[in-house]
Amino acid sequence: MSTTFHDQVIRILPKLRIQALALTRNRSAAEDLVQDAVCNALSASSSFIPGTNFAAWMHRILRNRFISNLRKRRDTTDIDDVPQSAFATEAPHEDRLALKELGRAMNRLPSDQREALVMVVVHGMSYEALAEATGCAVGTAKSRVFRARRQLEAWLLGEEKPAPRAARVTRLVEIGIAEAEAASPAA
Amino acid sequence: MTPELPERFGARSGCRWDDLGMQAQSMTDRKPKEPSRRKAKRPADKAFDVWLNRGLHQLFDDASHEPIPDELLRIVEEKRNG
Repeated sequence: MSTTFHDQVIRILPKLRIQALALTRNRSAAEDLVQDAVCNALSASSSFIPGTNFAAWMHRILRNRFISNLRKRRDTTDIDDVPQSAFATEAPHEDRLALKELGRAMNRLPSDQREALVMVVVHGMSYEALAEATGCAVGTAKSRVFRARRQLEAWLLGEEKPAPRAARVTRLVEIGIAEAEAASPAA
Repeated sequence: MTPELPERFGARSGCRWDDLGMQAQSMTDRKPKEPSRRKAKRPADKAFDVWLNRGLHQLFDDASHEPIPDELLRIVEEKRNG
């Protein structure tokens, strides 16, 4: 196989790690998933057609590996047990608390919505690229991202949580929103 | 008053040519359908999305900048070298 294929594998590893983290919600499981996906890809390298979308091919391999592992393991991880160390943050105290809540809320999302949101926001993927990477229609990709956003908004702004923790979380998120609005350029 | 439309044309009893003309006129008078527009985001949703985007970057960016494990690089290089 040409050296270009292996260079592409190495170049995409950081993005695979993000996708794996979004899917598994756990740092060490994500590393294992990336390694498994890379091994699968290297074994299947002859099936990749040079000049076609390598990133989509690689992301799909990782996703399929994740689904296959789930079926084998019948994962029943309690979301409250997922270590917050999966998400690193150096933010100030209130920000850290709000981010912690965001991390918890992210863990509650269905994996396909979580994956879609992360790949669009963190990777900067277009909906078309996301659809190709996850093997779905563009409309489905858009819908996953939209539903993820609105569900997180409902959880974090107190619509679906019992008080009084909800009020505190809502306040933290509202402060964060106000700061983000002030910092972002006008649309 | 125009004569009644014959029933063999499928007209209801009492329907006149004038009635058809008025129906046709009202159809052409109807405003053309406005092109469908995407629903605009509510300002509250926009603000939340800005915060969410920033939060997701804070949660995930560090992971994307961490070095690749040596073991993984070794696996790829072994395959490259046959």
